Amino acid sequence: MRCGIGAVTSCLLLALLGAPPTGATVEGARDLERGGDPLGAREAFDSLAADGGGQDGLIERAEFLERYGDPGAADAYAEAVAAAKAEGSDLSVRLLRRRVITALIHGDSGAARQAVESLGDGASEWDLAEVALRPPADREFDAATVTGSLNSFQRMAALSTDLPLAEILPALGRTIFTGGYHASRGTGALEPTEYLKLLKQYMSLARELDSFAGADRLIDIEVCESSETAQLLKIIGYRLRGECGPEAVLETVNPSRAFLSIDSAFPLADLELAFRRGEPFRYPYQPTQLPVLFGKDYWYEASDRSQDGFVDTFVDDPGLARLYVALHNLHRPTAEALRQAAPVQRLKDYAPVMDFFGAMFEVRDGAAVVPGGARSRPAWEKLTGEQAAAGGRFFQRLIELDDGWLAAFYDALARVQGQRARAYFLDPRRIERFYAAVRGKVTSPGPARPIFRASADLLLLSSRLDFTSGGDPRIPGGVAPWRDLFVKHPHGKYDGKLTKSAAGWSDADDVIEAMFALCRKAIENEPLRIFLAVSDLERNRSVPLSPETVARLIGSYPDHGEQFALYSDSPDASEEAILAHMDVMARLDRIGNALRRADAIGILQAQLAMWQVLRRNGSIPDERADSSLLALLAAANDSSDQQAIFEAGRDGVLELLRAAGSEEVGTPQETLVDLLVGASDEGEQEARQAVIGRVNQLLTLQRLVPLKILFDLADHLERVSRGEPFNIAMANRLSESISDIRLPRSLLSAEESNAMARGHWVERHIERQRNLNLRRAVDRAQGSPNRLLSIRGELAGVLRDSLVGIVYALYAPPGAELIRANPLFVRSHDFLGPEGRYSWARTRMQSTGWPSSGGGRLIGSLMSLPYELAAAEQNFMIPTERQALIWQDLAPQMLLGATLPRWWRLEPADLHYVGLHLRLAKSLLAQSALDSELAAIVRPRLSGRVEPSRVWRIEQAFRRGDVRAGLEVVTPAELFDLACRLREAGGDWLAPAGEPHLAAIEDLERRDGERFSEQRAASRFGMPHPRLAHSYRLELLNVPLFPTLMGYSSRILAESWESNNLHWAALADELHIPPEELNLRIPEWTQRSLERIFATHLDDWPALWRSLRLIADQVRSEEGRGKGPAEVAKDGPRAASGD
Amino acid sequence: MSGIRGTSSWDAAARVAAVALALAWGAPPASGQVPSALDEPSALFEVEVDLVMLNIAVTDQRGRYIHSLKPSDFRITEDGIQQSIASFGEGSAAPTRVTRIGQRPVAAMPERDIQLTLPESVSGQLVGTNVFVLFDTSNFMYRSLVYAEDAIADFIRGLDEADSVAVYSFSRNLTRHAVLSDEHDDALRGLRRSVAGDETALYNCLLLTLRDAAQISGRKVIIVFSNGPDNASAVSPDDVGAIAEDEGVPIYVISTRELNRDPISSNAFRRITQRTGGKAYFAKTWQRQSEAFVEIREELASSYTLTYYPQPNPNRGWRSIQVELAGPDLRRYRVRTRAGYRPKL
Repeated sequence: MRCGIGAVTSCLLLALLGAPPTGATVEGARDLERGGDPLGAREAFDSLAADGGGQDGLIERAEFLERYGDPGAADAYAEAVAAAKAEGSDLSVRLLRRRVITALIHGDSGAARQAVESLGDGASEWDLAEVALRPPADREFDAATVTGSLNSFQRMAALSTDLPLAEILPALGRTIFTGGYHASRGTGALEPTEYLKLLKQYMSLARELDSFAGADRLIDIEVCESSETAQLLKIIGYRLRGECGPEAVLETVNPSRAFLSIDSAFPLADLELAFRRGEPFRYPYQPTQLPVLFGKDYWYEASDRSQDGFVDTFVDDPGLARLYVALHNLHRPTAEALRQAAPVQRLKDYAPVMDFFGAMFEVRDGAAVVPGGARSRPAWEKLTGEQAAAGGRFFQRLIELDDGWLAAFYDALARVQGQRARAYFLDPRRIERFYAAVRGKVTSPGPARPIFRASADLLLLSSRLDFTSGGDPRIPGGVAPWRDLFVKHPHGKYDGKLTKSAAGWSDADDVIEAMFALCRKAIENEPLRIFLAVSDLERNRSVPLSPETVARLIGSYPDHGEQFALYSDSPDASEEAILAHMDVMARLDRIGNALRRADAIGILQAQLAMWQVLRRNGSIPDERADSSLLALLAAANDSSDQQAIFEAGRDGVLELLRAAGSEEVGTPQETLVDLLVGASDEGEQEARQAVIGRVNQLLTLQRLVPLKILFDLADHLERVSRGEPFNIAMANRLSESISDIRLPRSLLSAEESNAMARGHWVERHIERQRNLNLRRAVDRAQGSPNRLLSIRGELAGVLRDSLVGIVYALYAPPGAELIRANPLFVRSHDFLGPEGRYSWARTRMQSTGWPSSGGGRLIGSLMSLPYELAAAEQNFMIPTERQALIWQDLAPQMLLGATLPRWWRLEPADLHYVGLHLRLAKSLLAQSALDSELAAIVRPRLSGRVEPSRVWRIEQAFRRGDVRAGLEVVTPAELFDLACRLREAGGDWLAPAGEPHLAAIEDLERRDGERFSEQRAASRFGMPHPRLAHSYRLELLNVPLFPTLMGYSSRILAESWESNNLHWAALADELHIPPEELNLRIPEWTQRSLERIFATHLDDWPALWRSLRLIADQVRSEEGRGKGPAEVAKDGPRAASGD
Repeated sequence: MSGIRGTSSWDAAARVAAVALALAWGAPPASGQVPSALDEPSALFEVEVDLVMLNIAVTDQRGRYIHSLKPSDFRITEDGIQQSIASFGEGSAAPTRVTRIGQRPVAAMPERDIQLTLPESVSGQLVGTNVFVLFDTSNFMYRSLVYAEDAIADFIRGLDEADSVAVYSFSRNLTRHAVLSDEHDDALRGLRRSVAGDETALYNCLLLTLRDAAQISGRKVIIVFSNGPDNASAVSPDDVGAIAEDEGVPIYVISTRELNRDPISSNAFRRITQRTGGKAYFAKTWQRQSEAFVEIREELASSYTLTYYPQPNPNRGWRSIQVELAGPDLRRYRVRTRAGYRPKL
């Protein structure tokens, strides 16, 4: 039994009584749950059930299990039904219905079918039940043949072995057109890459093995000494060294063939072992049939048919592969409509446009469903020149026009979320006006030319624009500062035409139109970046920023824009503080001495980072926020010499402690770390001490000097200046701490020295500390109080490292290998960067892959330190699957979401609130699989968030009775949003359909409406969005899943994935894990999930979601619940068809 | 540093490991009473348990291994302080405890002050060597991967039965193909499951291999088979070398590049192997690579494993270790072991 917050009394009671409780009552179990002890409640319910329970007890138990997502709920309902029948109760229909739903959610369609049959007339309103619960039938499909082992083929084709069969050809197609060909240097013609050459060589080798295997598709070597052995070894490129028997060894004779054999996982070791042991070798070599969309003949119309089969045709024609991917990923009825509307060859020409921008296309009942519906339809029809009613032809026109710009614009607007944004962007006049701006006069090059989608700007603008309560777009500072941004670049820095037209801007639409116009530029869209950053800064402010401050921010953005996140995180910061910050940054930039500049900037940034954390975790209250920030900035203003920098650093630490209400300055570092880790309750001390212990361990490994030693020494030096004798023991404490510091590298060879010249070392900073000799300095300064006082300045660099180290340790990702392995990692932080221009820029890693360096180090500001530490750590993960991590942006974003938040002072009910929402959404979706009336209510809300192609897949899964597979297509963030939106919509249908989750949610909200709310849940279990929202605050933006985008914007994809913490919260709720343990568990679970991801391509977020589910199953197993990993693996992805 | 420290801040798991290993080297097994020992940690920790393990290769002028030396032939100093050898072993043979009156097999030693049974799993780990093979499957190795695998397979086949072996590969990330096991066939299967990768993060992955090795009791080595250039690591060779030195894990490197082709990597290999008591081989051809493996195997079978509990030493930083051979006849031989270590903080 675990005792969470608020459960102490219950736990004590149970401990006294002994567990499991005997003589438990329903009310007692309820009290346990309400008291924060769901595990105790479960035990009490189980005890009730074991004792016979009675109808009430069994019903409550079943509902309890359902509310906590326990797969045992379906059986529990069956027991409750039996009890109800035995007692002659009329509740059995309701209970049987719950049994059906819970069985469907957990994938037991057999039990669901049985329960529906028992329901008889009670299931009459489930008009779809007959279809949905029909036993699955084998479906016939036209298939492509993969010769030999599918696993080998997938290895050679770089495909995940987790893929369902129906997803293999599309995944192969994407790999072929993204990595199978490159343009020849001379002619520009497409040439196969090394990857494709190897794949084709493997396919040839597989055919030879297939031929060798014969009609029974079995590679069978009965005895080692045989002609078959020689024949097989020749095919796979090996020979026998030594005689058959114990000395037999296989060694390479044909390296090309041998490489293919190894790389494709031919069981060479088993073959050799069979030869050594004199045993037969048998290796099944069955081919695999892959379903082909529309049948093979359709595709043969568009390509030269290979005599070796469809897969060969596919890999030989990247255009065909891309069309296959594009049509496969489309909403299937829409793909069918396009197929009818245009010949395959013509569609092939526009495959890239469909591939990038087709996800939101939808033909329903023969007509195109356009963004904005009937109101906007005329605008879209005007732009395409085709009636929406024409369905497939409408979309054909859409993809063919303007080199793809219209399709790109359509895609961006179709993803717009929220009523205000829809009302604004989908206004017919604006659709035409903004598209005209996007289109410009010359449409080439189109947006679909590169292999990866080029620009995120259209999506960012349409998804992140903020609106006033009146529905107008919020333009920070009004139009004037933005007009100036363009006008004051008379040479047309951004766009000559816009520079001219800007003078006449009068309203918000003018500004937004200009932003749209810049979206099609191939160059960096700086105005949009500035606009979005300042918009995010203003988004949550109660009072808008003045035009003057906005103008200042706009001007400051190129140099200091990264720092704006400080104010996005703290919307109550005053304009005075914002302006003071910009003043201080500019002033520090002007310090001529580079080492002094780095110390001053490093100390200030570390303190601001701590202030940010203390604000985020509530340690600095609102009323002290601004004054403490101003005090930090004021202290940093005087950086005239090293001594002033040290004093500013010390004053800043004391200010932070004061602002957080701590009077304990005797042990400043311990107190500071304690505050930064966050306030917690008495019962959370074990988890809290583990977090603090980890921070302290990392500080020790970095051999950083504790603040107390530095501050005591500074005080002592002041006393020495007044005549007190110098305390050598005190100086020795410092020198002991830093005597062990070594330079980044030992002896350098000449080559290495030359190689290192490219780097910008921080050796002087480290060397200065190594050479620090206070005793000598005091001896030299004897007789001069001022000189004695100034010795404190020598400590500024040491103080900088100690403060920066605390921030590093606080944000250290799981593993923290770089901090553990490189004792100079913190000291090596370069606050200047090349040419001293990176002081306020985003943090970035340098010197990796350079063995002669002292290892990688971070340069730039500390603002994006949490992300960059996580990014650096991802290469220390050990994938459990053979394919290395491929998402350079996804992994750090996930780690960031796991390490940045702290989960203290939560109740189990806080987790339950999240879990209930996810389960409510699942339950309603499952019921919509059976009930067309409910489907008509639920699906439109789902369609508002989930793209049509996925909605179609969900529907298909429901139609074949695989409700669980359908639910797995929806992410936790989408489920949470769906539950909230459906509750918002309300209606008579909700209460009966939402039981038992809805009642529990409402119960919690009645208890404490502020604590249990969508907003509060988002602030606890959302994700930080440093790029999308310029903030590290946890929130749920409820944006659609963005596609992969080129450049930095693949971070946008990562940040649009908001499901992790919701998923983990629901898991912890299900398993009754105390909330404070999330501080340790979520980082661990996240790392395990990342190591388990087996993705094929950058857009393969289902692989991520699959990995999260697998780790959850493993955790359930480890906690003694649910299926073990082996059973999970057995269920496997193969069971779930993609279509 | 290999192994073990006795402080009150230990967690339970660390204590169990410490008890097991301390007994392995210093105390006899008796009837199983591990729980009672854990109940009385003060009795257990009366003895110094900071155990330092050294792998020592002794060769003559021509590089031939010298066998059959005795504990009394070695003189160990740490920061100049003479140390007493606690246990002694040669090759894969079971270690013996060194007492004032000579050597005794660990298993046959009489009962003294601690009544504990040595878990079989731990006892097994003290015989033979735990060999971690880390090989490069990055695109630099693309052309020679098959020959590399053949050479590694030969090496594994030739290992002593008592040796355990793990097979890891690396490119951008580490892959554990076969976890540490004395089932050499499993290692061969794992080896043949490797797949060609892309970028080379040798030092990152060597660090991760070290982390695994550090968790294993007993004698352990890491053998790196690589083409040389590293283009993706975030840790430096010297930091990794320092950790290997502290953990007492010798690193052997077989570089498939000639010495002069990549001087930066070659120097890094030399430094990292020298400071850990291992050795670097530069072997471009697969024949030379096979010879290097044979030599490493011979070294494993011929080198000595000595342990000692350090004498009181106020130095919490890097401690230098000197190993000399005593007696005029032996001084002409070369001794190779790690140069020192840094106690865990």
